[in-house]
Amino acid sequence: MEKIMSFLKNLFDRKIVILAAAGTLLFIGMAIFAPLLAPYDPNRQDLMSSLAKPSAKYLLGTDLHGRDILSRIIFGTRISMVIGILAVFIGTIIGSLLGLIAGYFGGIPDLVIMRILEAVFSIPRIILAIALGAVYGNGLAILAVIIGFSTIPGYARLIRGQVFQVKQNDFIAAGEVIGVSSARQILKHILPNVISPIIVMMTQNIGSAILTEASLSFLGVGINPPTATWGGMVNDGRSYLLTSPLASLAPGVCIVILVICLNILGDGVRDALDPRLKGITH
Amino acid sequence: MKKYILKRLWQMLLVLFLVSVFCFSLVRLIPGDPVKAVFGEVQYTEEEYQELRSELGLDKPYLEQYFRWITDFCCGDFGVSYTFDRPVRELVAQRAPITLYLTGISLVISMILGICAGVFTAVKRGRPSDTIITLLANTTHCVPNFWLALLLVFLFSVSLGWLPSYGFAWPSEGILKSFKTCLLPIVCFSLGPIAGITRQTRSCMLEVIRQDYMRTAKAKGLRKNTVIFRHGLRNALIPLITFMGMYVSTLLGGSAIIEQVFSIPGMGSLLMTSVSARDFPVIQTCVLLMAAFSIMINLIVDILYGYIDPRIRLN
Repeated sequence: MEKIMSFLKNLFDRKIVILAAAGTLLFIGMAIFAPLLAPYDPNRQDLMSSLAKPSAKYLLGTDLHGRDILSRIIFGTRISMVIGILAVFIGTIIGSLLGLIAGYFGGIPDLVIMRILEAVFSIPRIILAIALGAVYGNGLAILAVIIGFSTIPGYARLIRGQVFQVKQNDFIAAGEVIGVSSARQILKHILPNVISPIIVMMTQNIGSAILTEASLSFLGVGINPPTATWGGMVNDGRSYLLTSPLASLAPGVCIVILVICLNILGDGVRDALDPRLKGITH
Repeated sequence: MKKYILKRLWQMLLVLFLVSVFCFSLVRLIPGDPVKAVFGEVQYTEEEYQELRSELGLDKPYLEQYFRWITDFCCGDFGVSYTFDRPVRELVAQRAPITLYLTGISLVISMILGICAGVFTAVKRGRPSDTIITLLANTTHCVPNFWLALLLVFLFSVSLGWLPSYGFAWPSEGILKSFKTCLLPIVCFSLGPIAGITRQTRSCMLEVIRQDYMRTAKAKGLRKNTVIFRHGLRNALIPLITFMGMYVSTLLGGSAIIEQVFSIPGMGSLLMTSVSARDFPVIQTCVLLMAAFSIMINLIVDILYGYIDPRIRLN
Protein backbone atom coordinates (compact mmCIF):
# COMPACT_ATOMS: atom_id res chain seq x y z
CA MET A 1 0.00 0.00 0.00
CA GLU A 2 2.82 2.33 0.94
CA LYS A 3 4.52 1.49 -2.37
CA ILE A 4 1.36 2.31 -4.33
CA MET A 5 0.96 5.64 -2.51
CA SER A 6 4.59 6.52 -3.17
CA PHE A 7 4.17 5.53 -6.85
CA LEU A 8 1.06 7.71 -7.18
CA LYS A 9 2.83 10.61 -5.44
CA ASN A 10 5.74 10.31 -7.85
CA LEU A 11 3.40 9.88 -10.83
CA PHE A 12 1.35 13.00 -10.12
CA ASP A 13 4.36 15.05 -9.15
CA ARG A 14 4.25 16.90 -12.47
CA LYS A 15 1.30 19.02 -13.57
CA ILE A 16 1.52 17.80 -17.16
CA VAL A 17 0.97 14.19 -16.00
CA ILE A 18 -2.09 15.26 -13.98
CA LEU A 19 -3.42 17.00 -17.09
CA ALA A 20 -2.74 13.92 -19.25
CA ALA A 21 -4.43 11.64 -16.69
CA ALA A 22 -7.45 13.95 -16.61
CA GLY A 23 -7.59 13.93 -20.42
CA THR A 24 -7.35 10.14 -20.53
CA LEU A 25 -10.08 9.82 -17.88
CA LEU A 26 -12.26 12.15 -19.95
CA PHE A 27 -11.91 9.89 -23.00
CA ILE A 28 -12.56 6.79 -20.86
CA GLY A 29 -15.67 8.51 -19.51
CA MET A 30 -16.75 9.33 -23.07
CA ALA A 31 -16.31 5.69 -24.06
CA ILE A 32 -18.27 4.33 -21.08
CA PHE A 33 -21.10 6.86 -21.13
CA ALA A 34 -21.29 7.27 -24.91
CA PRO A 35 -25.04 6.49 -25.17
CA LEU A 36 -25.78 9.12 -22.51
CA LEU A 37 -23.42 11.78 -23.84
CA ALA A 38 -24.05 11.50 -27.58
CA PRO A 39 -26.88 13.78 -28.75
CA TYR A 40 -27.89 11.33 -31.51
CA ASP A 41 -27.53 7.71 -32.56
CA PRO A 42 -24.13 7.60 -34.35
CA ASN A 43 -25.65 5.85 -37.37
CA ARG A 44 -28.84 7.94 -37.60
CA GLN A 45 -29.01 9.46 -41.06
CA ASP A 46 -30.55 12.85 -41.73
CA LEU A 47 -30.11 13.10 -45.48
CA MET A 48 -31.71 16.55 -45.56
CA SER A 49 -28.79 17.78 -43.43
CA SER A 50 -25.96 16.17 -45.42
CA LEU A 51 -22.61 17.91 -44.79
CA ALA A 52 -24.33 20.48 -42.53
CA LYS A 53 -22.14 23.15 -40.98
CA PRO A 54 -21.81 23.30 -37.17
CA SER A 55 -25.02 24.59 -35.60
CA ALA A 56 -27.01 24.38 -32.37
CA LYS A 57 -28.62 21.19 -33.69
CA TYR A 58 -25.37 19.55 -34.83
CA LEU A 59 -22.52 21.00 -32.78
CA LEU A 60 -19.77 19.72 -35.11
CA GLY A 61 -21.94 19.46 -38.22
CA THR A 62 -22.80 16.30 -40.13
CA ASP A 63 -21.10 13.99 -42.62
CA LEU A 64 -22.17 13.07 -46.16
CA HIS A 65 -24.95 10.79 -44.87
CA GLY A 66 -26.22 13.45 -42.49
CA ARG A 67 -24.86 11.64 -39.43
CA ASP A 68 -23.96 13.79 -36.42
CA ILE A 69 -20.14 14.07 -36.28
CA LEU A 70 -20.05 14.72 -32.52
CA SER A 71 -22.07 11.58 -31.76
CA ARG A 72 -19.86 9.52 -34.04
CA ILE A 73 -16.73 10.88 -32.36
CA ILE A 74 -18.12 10.03 -28.91
CA PHE A 75 -18.98 6.48 -30.00
CA GLY A 76 -15.67 6.20 -31.88
CA THR A 77 -13.88 6.62 -28.53
CA ARG A 78 -15.22 3.21 -27.54
CA ILE A 79 -13.63 1.41 -30.48
CA SER A 80 -10.28 3.15 -30.01
CA MET A 81 -10.20 2.51 -26.28
CA VAL A 82 -11.40 -1.08 -26.42
CA ILE A 83 -9.02 -2.07 -29.22
CA GLY A 84 -6.12 -0.14 -27.69
CA ILE A 85 -6.51 -1.77 -24.27
CA LEU A 86 -7.36 -5.27 -25.58
CA ALA A 87 -4.45 -5.27 -28.03
CA VAL A 88 -2.02 -4.18 -25.33
CA PHE A 89 -3.23 -6.92 -22.97
CA ILE A 90 -2.89 -9.58 -25.66
CA GLY A 91 0.58 -8.36 -26.64
CA THR A 92 1.68 -8.04 -23.01
CA ILE A 93 0.52 -11.46 -21.86
CA ILE A 94 1.86 -13.45 -24.82
CA GLY A 95 4.98 -11.32 -25.32
CA SER A 96 5.93 -11.37 -21.63
CA LEU A 97 5.37 -15.10 -21.37
CA LEU A 98 7.57 -15.77 -24.41
CA GLY A 99 10.21 -13.35 -23.10
CA LEU A 100 10.19 -15.06 -19.69
CA ILE A 101 10.58 -18.52 -21.23
CA ALA A 102 13.30 -17.42 -23.67
CA GLY A 103 15.21 -15.52 -21.01
CA TYR A 104 14.91 -18.14 -18.26
CA PHE A 105 15.65 -21.28 -20.22
CA GLY A 106 18.05 -19.77 -22.78
CA GLY A 107 19.56 -22.24 -25.30
CA ILE A 108 17.24 -23.81 -27.86
CA PRO A 109 13.91 -22.38 -26.53
CA ASP A 110 15.50 -18.93 -26.61
CA LEU A 111 16.87 -19.44 -30.12
CA VAL A 112 13.56 -20.74 -31.50
CA ILE A 113 11.35 -18.11 -29.83
CA MET A 114 13.59 -15.16 -30.65
CA ARG A 115 14.13 -16.17 -34.29
CA ILE A 116 10.38 -16.60 -34.84
CA LEU A 117 9.72 -13.24 -33.21
CA GLU A 118 12.50 -11.64 -35.22
CA ALA A 119 10.78 -12.91 -38.34
CA VAL A 120 7.46 -11.39 -37.23
CA PHE A 121 9.21 -8.18 -36.22
CA SER A 122 10.91 -7.87 -39.59
CA ILE A 123 7.55 -7.34 -41.27
CA PRO A 124 6.57 -3.67 -40.88
CA ARG A 125 3.92 -3.58 -38.15
CA ILE A 126 1.20 -1.90 -40.17
CA ILE A 127 1.89 -4.17 -43.18
CA LEU A 128 1.59 -7.22 -40.92
CA ALA A 129 -1.70 -5.92 -39.55
CA ILE A 130 -2.98 -5.15 -43.08
CA ALA A 131 -2.04 -8.63 -44.35
CA LEU A 132 -3.58 -10.39 -41.36
CA GLY A 133 -6.66 -8.16 -41.57
CA ALA A 134 -7.05 -9.03 -45.25
CA VAL A 135 -6.92 -12.73 -44.47
CA TYR A 136 -8.80 -12.97 -41.19
CA GLY A 137 -11.42 -10.25 -41.58
CA ASN A 138 -12.00 -7.15 -39.56
CA GLY A 139 -14.11 -7.66 -36.46
CA LEU A 140 -13.29 -5.81 -33.26
CA ALA A 141 -11.82 -8.83 -31.46
CA ILE A 142 -9.84 -9.97 -34.51
CA LEU A 143 -8.44 -6.48 -34.99
CA ALA A 144 -7.38 -6.33 -31.34
CA VAL A 145 -5.68 -9.74 -31.69
CA ILE A 146 -3.91 -8.65 -34.89
CA ILE A 147 -2.66 -5.38 -33.39
CA GLY A 148 -1.72 -7.17 -30.16
CA PHE A 149 0.09 -9.88 -32.14
CA SER A 150 2.22 -7.28 -33.90
CA THR A 151 3.42 -5.93 -30.50
CA ILE A 152 4.47 -9.35 -29.09
CA PRO A 153 8.12 -9.18 -30.28
CA GLY A 154 8.65 -5.83 -28.53
CA TYR A 155 7.53 -7.20 -25.16
CA ALA A 156 9.40 -10.48 -25.58
CA ARG A 157 12.68 -8.71 -26.39
CA LEU A 158 12.36 -6.36 -23.45
CA ILE A 159 11.43 -9.04 -20.91
CA ARG A 160 14.07 -11.47 -22.17
CA GLY A 161 16.77 -8.85 -21.58
CA GLN A 162 15.41 -8.10 -18.12
CA VAL A 163 15.24 -11.81 -17.22
CA PHE A 164 18.90 -12.24 -18.21
CA GLN A 165 19.78 -9.54 -15.69
CA VAL A 166 17.56 -10.91 -12.89
CA LYS A 167 18.98 -14.41 -13.43
CA GLN A 168 22.39 -13.14 -12.31
CA ASN A 169 21.04 -12.61 -8.77
CA ASP A 170 21.94 -14.98 -5.95
CA PHE A 171 18.32 -15.65 -4.99
CA ILE A 172 17.72 -17.35 -8.34
CA ALA A 173 20.77 -19.60 -7.86
CA ALA A 174 19.62 -20.28 -4.29
CA GLY A 175 16.17 -21.23 -5.59
CA GLU A 176 17.71 -23.65 -8.07
CA VAL A 177 19.83 -25.25 -5.33
CA ILE A 178 16.84 -25.95 -3.10
CA GLY A 179 14.96 -27.41 -6.07
CA VAL A 180 12.35 -24.73 -6.81
CA SER A 181 10.48 -25.66 -10.00
CA SER A 182 11.05 -23.60 -13.16
CA ALA A 183 7.43 -22.41 -13.25
CA ARG A 184 7.67 -21.21 -9.64
CA GLN A 185 11.02 -19.53 -10.29
CA ILE A 186 9.57 -17.68 -13.28
CA LEU A 187 6.26 -16.69 -11.73
CA LYS A 188 7.29 -16.08 -8.10
CA HIS A 189 10.87 -14.87 -8.32
CA ILE A 190 11.49 -13.45 -11.78
CA LEU A 191 8.15 -11.95 -12.83
CA PRO A 192 7.85 -9.58 -9.82
CA ASN A 193 11.31 -8.25 -10.67
CA VAL A 194 10.49 -7.50 -14.30
CA ILE A 195 6.96 -6.21 -13.78
CA SER A 196 7.96 -2.49 -13.83
CA PRO A 197 9.23 -2.45 -17.43
CA ILE A 198 6.16 -4.48 -18.46
CA ILE A 199 3.84 -1.86 -16.95
CA VAL A 200 5.85 0.98 -18.51
CA MET A 201 5.73 -0.63 -21.95
CA MET A 202 2.01 -1.37 -21.60
CA THR A 203 1.12 2.24 -20.86
CA GLN A 204 3.37 3.47 -23.65
CA ASN A 205 1.94 0.99 -26.15
CA ILE A 206 -1.76 1.86 -25.76
CA GLY A 207 -1.22 5.06 -27.75
CA SER A 208 0.52 3.29 -30.61
CA ALA A 209 -2.14 0.54 -30.65
CA ILE A 210 -4.79 3.26 -31.01
CA LEU A 211 -2.78 4.84 -33.85
CA THR A 212 -2.50 1.45 -35.61
CA GLU A 213 -6.25 0.88 -35.28
CA ALA A 214 -6.96 4.37 -36.65
CA SER A 215 -4.58 3.77 -39.57
CA LEU A 216 -6.22 0.43 -40.39
CA SER A 217 -9.71 1.93 -40.19
CA PHE A 218 -8.55 4.82 -42.39
CA LEU A 219 -7.27 2.34 -44.97
CA GLY A 220 -10.55 0.44 -44.85
CA VAL A 221 -9.11 -2.74 -43.34
CA GLY A 222 -10.22 -1.89 -39.81
CA ILE A 223 -13.71 -2.08 -38.35
CA ASN A 224 -16.42 -2.34 -41.00
CA PRO A 225 -18.64 0.66 -41.71
CA PRO A 226 -21.08 2.02 -40.60
CA THR A 227 -19.54 1.53 -37.11
CA ALA A 228 -18.07 4.86 -36.04
CA THR A 229 -14.26 4.79 -35.79
CA TRP A 230 -12.02 7.82 -35.75
CA GLY A 231 -9.77 6.57 -38.55
CA GLY A 232 -12.79 5.63 -40.66
CA MET A 233 -14.31 9.09 -40.07
CA VAL A 234 -11.11 10.82 -41.24
CA ASN A 235 -11.26 8.70 -44.41
CA ASP A 236 -14.98 9.34 -44.97
CA GLY A 237 -14.51 13.08 -44.67
CA ARG A 238 -11.40 13.44 -46.83
CA SER A 239 -13.37 14.04 -50.03
CA TYR A 240 -15.23 16.97 -48.43
CA LEU A 241 -12.28 18.74 -46.83
CA LEU A 242 -13.19 22.05 -48.45
CA THR A 243 -16.93 22.03 -47.77
CA SER A 244 -16.98 20.20 -44.45
CA PRO A 245 -13.46 20.15 -42.97
CA LEU A 246 -14.60 19.16 -39.47
CA ALA A 247 -15.71 15.73 -40.72
CA SER A 248 -12.03 14.80 -41.10
CA LEU A 249 -10.31 17.28 -38.80
CA ALA A 250 -12.32 16.69 -35.61
CA PRO A 251 -11.72 12.92 -35.31
CA GLY A 252 -8.05 13.50 -36.19
CA VAL A 253 -7.72 16.03 -33.36
CA CYS A 254 -9.27 13.48 -30.97
CA ILE A 255 -6.73 10.82 -32.02
CA VAL A 256 -3.84 13.25 -31.50
CA ILE A 257 -5.09 14.48 -28.08
CA LEU A 258 -5.79 10.96 -26.78
CA VAL A 259 -2.43 9.61 -27.96
CA ILE A 260 -0.57 12.62 -26.50
CA CYS A 261 -2.36 12.12 -23.14
CA LEU A 262 -1.57 8.39 -23.13
CA ASN A 263 2.07 8.94 -24.07
CA ILE A 264 2.61 11.59 -21.38
CA LEU A 265 0.91 9.30 -18.87
CA GLY A 266 3.12 6.42 -20.05
CA ASP A 267 6.23 8.55 -19.63
CA GLY A 268 4.97 9.60 -16.19
CA VAL A 269 4.51 5.96 -15.18
CA ARG A 270 8.03 5.18 -16.39
CA ASP A 271 9.51 8.11 -14.45
CA ALA A 272 7.57 7.15 -11.32
CA LEU A 273 8.65 3.50 -11.50
CA ASP A 274 12.24 4.20 -12.46
CA PRO A 275 13.29 7.64 -11.18
CA ARG A 276 16.79 7.13 -12.63
CA LEU A 277 15.35 7.70 -16.11
CA LYS A 278 13.54 10.90 -15.19
CA GLY A 279 14.38 13.71 -17.57
CA ILE A 280 16.91 11.66 -19.49
CA THR A 281 14.60 9.80 -21.81
CA HIS A 282 11.25 10.98 -23.09
CA MET B 1 34.71 -9.99 -37.62
CA LYS B 2 34.40 -12.70 -40.32
CA LYS B 3 32.89 -15.10 -37.78
CA TYR B 4 30.46 -12.43 -36.62
CA ILE B 5 29.33 -11.68 -40.21
CA LEU B 6 28.88 -15.40 -40.94
CA LYS B 7 26.84 -15.81 -37.74
CA ARG B 8 24.60 -12.88 -38.66
CA LEU B 9 24.21 -14.19 -42.23
CA TRP B 10 23.11 -17.60 -40.94
CA GLN B 11 20.63 -15.94 -38.56
CA MET B 12 19.32 -13.79 -41.43
CA LEU B 13 18.72 -16.85 -43.60
CA LEU B 14 16.85 -18.52 -40.75
CA VAL B 15 14.67 -15.45 -40.23
CA LEU B 16 14.05 -15.15 -43.99
CA PHE B 17 12.96 -18.79 -44.03
CA LEU B 18 10.54 -18.17 -41.15
CA VAL B 19 9.10 -15.08 -42.84
CA SER B 20 8.63 -17.07 -46.03
CA VAL B 21 6.75 -19.77 -44.06
CA PHE B 22 4.57 -17.04 -42.56
CA CYS B 23 3.80 -15.51 -45.98
CA PHE B 24 3.13 -18.94 -47.45
CA SER B 25 0.76 -19.73 -44.58
CA LEU B 26 -1.12 -16.44 -45.04
CA VAL B 27 -3.17 -17.86 -47.90
CA ARG B 28 -3.27 -21.44 -46.66
CA LEU B 29 -4.59 -20.43 -43.24
CA ILE B 30 -7.56 -18.43 -44.48
CA PRO B 31 -10.52 -19.59 -42.39
CA GLY B 32 -12.74 -21.78 -44.58
CA ASP B 33 -11.81 -22.46 -48.18
CA PRO B 34 -9.02 -20.23 -49.57
CA VAL B 35 -10.25 -20.79 -53.12
CA LYS B 36 -13.71 -19.49 -52.21
CA ALA B 37 -12.06 -16.58 -50.42
CA VAL B 38 -10.19 -15.70 -53.59
CA PHE B 39 -13.41 -15.77 -55.63
CA GLY B 40 -15.14 -13.65 -52.98
CA GLU B 41 -18.48 -12.37 -54.26
CA VAL B 42 -17.76 -13.46 -57.86
CA GLN B 43 -19.91 -16.31 -59.22
CA TYR B 44 -17.89 -19.32 -60.37
CA THR B 45 -18.38 -22.76 -61.88
CA GLU B 46 -17.02 -26.03 -60.48
CA GLU B 47 -14.49 -26.08 -63.35
CA GLU B 48 -13.22 -22.60 -62.54
CA TYR B 49 -13.03 -23.59 -58.88
CA GLN B 50 -10.87 -26.65 -59.64
CA GLU B 51 -8.73 -24.65 -62.07
CA LEU B 52 -7.96 -21.99 -59.46
CA ARG B 53 -7.38 -24.65 -56.81
CA SER B 54 -4.82 -26.30 -59.03
CA GLU B 55 -3.33 -22.93 -60.02
CA LEU B 56 -2.86 -22.08 -56.35
CA GLY B 57 -1.32 -25.53 -55.92
CA LEU B 58 -3.78 -26.28 -53.13
CA ASP B 59 -4.36 -29.83 -54.42
CA LYS B 60 -0.77 -30.78 -53.49
CA PRO B 61 0.62 -31.63 -50.01
CA TYR B 62 1.68 -28.58 -47.97
CA LEU B 63 5.39 -29.33 -48.07
CA GLU B 64 5.35 -29.68 -51.85
CA GLN B 65 3.31 -26.49 -52.13
CA TYR B 66 5.82 -24.60 -50.01
CA PHE B 67 8.88 -25.83 -51.91
CA ARG B 68 7.31 -25.09 -55.26
CA TRP B 69 6.28 -21.63 -54.10
CA ILE B 70 9.63 -20.71 -52.53
CA THR B 71 11.64 -22.09 -55.47
CA ASP B 72 9.54 -20.07 -57.90
CA PHE B 73 9.89 -17.04 -55.65
CA CYS B 74 13.67 -17.31 -55.49
CA CYS B 75 13.74 -17.56 -59.29
CA GLY B 76 11.78 -14.31 -59.50
CA ASP B 77 8.46 -15.93 -60.36
CA PHE B 78 6.04 -14.32 -57.89
CA GLY B 79 2.90 -15.62 -59.58
CA VAL B 80 0.24 -13.77 -61.53
CA SER B 81 -1.93 -11.01 -60.11
CA TYR B 82 -5.67 -11.73 -60.28
CA THR B 83 -6.51 -8.03 -60.34
CA PHE B 84 -4.00 -6.76 -62.88
CA ASP B 85 -3.79 -10.02 -64.83
CA ARG B 86 -0.02 -9.52 -65.10
CA PRO B 87 2.98 -11.24 -63.52
CA VAL B 88 3.53 -9.87 -60.00
CA ARG B 89 7.23 -9.48 -60.84
CA GLU B 90 6.41 -6.84 -63.46
CA LEU B 91 4.22 -4.94 -61.02
CA VAL B 92 6.93 -5.03 -58.35
CA ALA B 93 9.65 -3.96 -60.82
CA GLN B 94 7.50 -0.99 -61.76
CA ARG B 95 6.52 0.08 -58.26
CA ALA B 96 9.32 -0.87 -55.87
CA PRO B 97 11.76 1.81 -57.16
CA ILE B 98 9.21 4.53 -56.39
CA THR B 99 8.79 3.38 -52.79
CA LEU B 100 12.54 2.93 -52.36
CA TYR B 101 13.20 6.39 -53.79
CA LEU B 102 10.71 8.14 -51.50
CA THR B 103 11.59 6.19 -48.35
CA GLY B 104 15.34 6.49 -49.05
CA ILE B 105 15.19 10.29 -49.36
CA SER B 106 12.95 10.46 -46.29
CA LEU B 107 15.37 8.34 -44.25
CA VAL B 108 18.35 10.53 -45.14
CA ILE B 109 16.41 13.74 -44.36
CA SER B 110 15.10 12.26 -41.08
CA MET B 111 18.57 11.22 -39.98
CA ILE B 112 20.19 14.57 -40.74
CA LEU B 113 17.45 16.71 -39.19
CA GLY B 114 16.72 14.32 -36.30
CA ILE B 115 20.37 14.02 -35.25
CA CYS B 116 20.96 17.78 -35.52
CA ALA B 117 17.82 18.58 -33.50
CA GLY B 118 18.65 15.87 -30.93
CA VAL B 119 22.20 17.16 -30.37
CA PHE B 120 20.94 20.75 -30.19
CA THR B 121 18.27 19.95 -27.58
CA ALA B 122 20.68 17.87 -25.50
CA VAL B 123 23.27 20.65 -25.46
CA LYS B 124 20.60 23.25 -24.66
CA ARG B 125 18.90 21.05 -22.06
CA GLY B 126 16.37 22.92 -19.94
CA ARG B 127 16.47 26.05 -22.15
CA PRO B 128 13.30 27.27 -23.94
CA SER B 129 14.63 26.03 -27.32
CA ASP B 130 14.99 22.50 -25.85
CA THR B 131 11.47 22.63 -24.40
CA ILE B 132 9.95 23.82 -27.68
CA ILE B 133 11.74 21.27 -29.91
CA THR B 134 11.13 18.40 -27.47
CA LEU B 135 7.46 19.35 -27.21
CA LEU B 136 7.20 19.53 -31.01
CA ALA B 137 8.92 16.14 -31.36
CA ASN B 138 6.64 14.56 -28.75
CA THR B 139 3.54 15.99 -30.40
CA THR B 140 4.58 15.00 -33.93
CA HIS B 141 5.18 11.48 -32.65
CA CYS B 142 1.46 11.28 -31.75
CA VAL B 143 0.09 12.57 -35.07
CA PRO B 144 -1.14 9.78 -37.35
CA ASN B 145 0.60 10.15 -40.72
CA PHE B 146 -2.63 9.74 -42.71
CA TRP B 147 -4.13 12.71 -40.87
CA LEU B 148 -0.99 14.75 -41.32
CA ALA B 149 -1.10 13.95 -45.04
CA LEU B 150 -4.70 15.16 -45.24
CA LEU B 151 -3.85 18.37 -43.35
CA LEU B 152 -0.95 19.09 -45.72
CA VAL B 153 -3.10 18.38 -48.77
CA PHE B 154 -5.82 20.63 -47.36
CA LEU B 155 -3.38 23.45 -46.71
CA PHE B 156 -0.94 23.32 -49.63
CA SER B 157 -3.03 21.75 -52.37
CA VAL B 158 -6.68 22.57 -51.73
CA SER B 159 -6.43 25.97 -50.01
CA LEU B 160 -3.21 27.49 -51.37
CA GLY B 161 -2.97 25.47 -54.59
CA TRP B 162 0.83 25.45 -54.43
CA LEU B 163 1.43 21.73 -54.73
CA PRO B 164 -0.35 18.84 -56.45
CA SER B 165 -2.42 16.67 -54.13
CA TYR B 166 -1.62 13.40 -55.89
CA GLY B 167 0.70 11.65 -58.35
CA PHE B 168 4.41 11.01 -58.66
CA ALA B 169 7.09 12.14 -61.10
CA TRP B 170 10.70 11.04 -61.39
CA PRO B 171 13.35 13.78 -61.61
CA SER B 172 13.88 12.75 -65.25
CA GLU B 173 10.35 13.98 -66.00
CA GLY B 174 11.31 17.46 -64.85
CA ILE B 175 13.07 18.49 -61.66
CA LEU B 176 10.43 21.03 -60.60
CA LYS B 177 7.52 18.68 -61.34
CA SER B 178 9.25 15.89 -59.42
CA PHE B 179 10.03 18.19 -56.49
CA LYS B 180 6.43 19.38 -56.34
CA THR B 181 4.92 15.90 -56.41
CA CYS B 182 7.40 14.42 -53.94
CA LEU B 183 7.56 17.24 -51.39
CA LEU B 184 4.37 16.53 -49.43
CA PRO B 185 4.79 12.72 -49.35
CA ILE B 186 8.41 13.09 -48.19
CA VAL B 187 7.35 15.51 -45.44
CA CYS B 188 4.71 13.00 -44.30
CA PHE B 189 7.18 10.11 -44.42
CA SER B 190 9.87 12.07 -42.57
CA LEU B 191 8.12 13.91 -39.76
CA GLY B 192 7.49 10.83 -37.59
CA PRO B 193 11.06 9.47 -37.92
CA ILE B 194 12.51 12.99 -37.40
CA ALA B 195 10.57 13.23 -34.13
CA GLY B 196 11.69 9.74 -33.08
CA ILE B 197 15.36 10.28 -34.00
CA THR B 198 15.36 13.67 -32.23
CA ARG B 199 14.04 12.04 -29.02
CA GLN B 200 16.52 9.18 -29.22
CA THR B 201 19.53 11.35 -30.10
CA ARG B 202 18.69 13.70 -27.23
CA SER B 203 18.37 10.80 -24.85
CA CYS B 204 21.66 9.16 -26.02
CA MET B 205 23.51 12.49 -25.97
CA LEU B 206 22.32 13.28 -22.44
CA GLU B 207 23.61 9.89 -21.36
CA VAL B 208 26.99 10.49 -23.07
CA ILE B 209 27.36 14.09 -21.84
CA ARG B 210 27.41 12.81 -18.24
CA GLN B 211 30.39 10.53 -18.90
CA ASP B 212 33.80 11.22 -17.42
CA TYR B 213 35.58 11.35 -20.78
CA MET B 214 33.40 14.28 -21.81
CA ARG B 215 34.47 16.17 -18.69
CA THR B 216 38.09 15.24 -19.38
CA ALA B 217 37.79 16.49 -22.96
CA LYS B 218 36.36 19.77 -21.71
CA ALA B 219 39.05 20.02 -19.02
CA LYS B 220 41.75 19.53 -21.66
CA GLY B 221 40.53 22.78 -23.14
CA LEU B 222 39.06 21.36 -26.35
CA ARG B 223 36.61 23.53 -28.25
CA LYS B 224 32.94 23.00 -27.35
CA ASN B 225 32.06 21.76 -30.85
CA THR B 226 34.94 19.26 -30.86
CA VAL B 227 33.80 17.90 -27.49
CA ILE B 228 30.19 17.58 -28.64
CA PHE B 229 30.75 16.15 -32.10
CA ARG B 230 33.98 14.15 -31.82
CA HIS B 231 33.59 12.79 -28.31
CA GLY B 232 29.85 13.10 -27.68
CA LEU B 233 27.99 12.41 -30.93
CA ARG B 234 30.32 9.64 -32.08
CA ASN B 235 29.53 7.66 -28.95
CA ALA B 236 25.86 8.59 -28.94
CA LEU B 237 25.55 7.39 -32.57
CA ILE B 238 26.40 3.79 -31.63
CA PRO B 239 23.06 2.98 -29.95
CA LEU B 240 21.30 5.18 -32.52
CA ILE B 241 22.46 3.01 -35.41
CA THR B 242 20.45 0.09 -34.06
CA PHE B 243 17.28 2.12 -34.50
CA MET B 244 17.91 2.66 -38.22
CA GLY B 245 16.56 -0.76 -39.12
CA MET B 246 13.43 0.05 -37.15
CA TYR B 247 12.97 3.30 -39.06
CA VAL B 248 13.31 1.56 -42.43
CA SER B 249 10.54 -0.76 -41.28
CA THR B 250 8.40 2.19 -40.13
CA LEU B 251 8.93 4.02 -43.43
CA LEU B 252 8.00 0.94 -45.46
CA GLY B 253 4.89 0.51 -43.31
CA GLY B 254 4.03 4.17 -43.78
CA SER B 255 4.19 3.70 -47.55
CA ALA B 256 0.89 1.80 -47.43
CA ILE B 257 -0.82 4.85 -45.97
CA ILE B 258 0.99 7.77 -47.60
CA GLU B 259 1.03 6.29 -51.10
CA GLN B 260 -2.68 5.66 -50.74
CA VAL B 261 -3.42 9.27 -49.73
CA PHE B 262 -1.26 10.79 -52.49
CA SER B 263 -2.16 8.16 -55.12
CA ILE B 264 1.49 7.27 -55.61
CA PRO B 265 1.96 4.06 -57.65
CA GLY B 266 4.39 2.39 -55.21
CA MET B 267 4.52 -0.88 -53.29
CA GLY B 268 2.29 0.39 -50.48
CA SER B 269 -0.56 1.34 -52.78
CA LEU B 270 -0.08 -1.94 -54.68
CA LEU B 271 -0.51 -3.80 -51.40
CA MET B 272 -3.64 -1.84 -50.51
CA THR B 273 -5.20 -2.40 -53.95
CA SER B 274 -4.48 -6.12 -53.59
CA VAL B 275 -5.90 -6.24 -50.09
CA SER B 276 -9.23 -4.80 -51.20
CA ALA B 277 -9.31 -7.23 -54.16
CA ARG B 278 -8.00 -10.14 -52.01
CA ASP B 279 -5.25 -10.60 -54.60
CA PHE B 280 -3.19 -13.04 -52.52
CA PRO B 281 -0.13 -13.55 -54.77
CA VAL B 282 0.49 -9.80 -54.67
CA ILE B 283 -0.14 -9.57 -50.90
CA GLN B 284 2.31 -12.42 -50.24
CA THR B 285 4.95 -10.91 -52.50
CA CYS B 286 4.64 -7.40 -51.05
CA VAL B 287 4.86 -8.65 -47.46
CA LEU B 288 7.77 -11.00 -48.15
CA LEU B 289 9.75 -8.43 -50.14
CA MET B 290 9.21 -5.67 -47.59
CA ALA B 291 10.25 -8.02 -44.78
CA ALA B 292 13.29 -9.24 -46.74
CA PHE B 293 14.35 -5.65 -47.38
CA SER B 294 13.93 -4.78 -43.72
CA ILE B 295 15.95 -7.89 -42.72
CA MET B 296 18.75 -6.97 -45.14
CA ILE B 297 18.94 -3.44 -43.74
CA ASN B 298 19.03 -4.85 -40.21
CA LEU B 299 21.87 -7.16 -41.22
CA ILE B 300 23.85 -4.24 -42.65
CA VAL B 301 23.14 -2.23 -39.49
CA ASP B 302 24.27 -5.15 -37.29
CA ILE B 303 27.48 -5.62 -39.25
CA LEU B 304 28.13 -1.87 -39.09
CA TYR B 305 27.40 -1.95 -35.39
CA GLY B 306 29.80 -4.83 -34.86
CA TYR B 307 32.43 -3.00 -36.91
CA ILE B 308 32.07 0.24 -34.92
CA ASP B 309 31.77 -1.37 -31.48
CA PRO B 310 34.04 -4.44 -31.08
CA ARG B 311 32.25 -5.45 -27.85
CA ILE B 312 29.19 -6.46 -29.90
CA ARG B 313 30.98 -8.86 -32.24
CA LEU B 314 32.98 -10.35 -29.39
CA ASN B 315 29.78 -11.15 -27.50
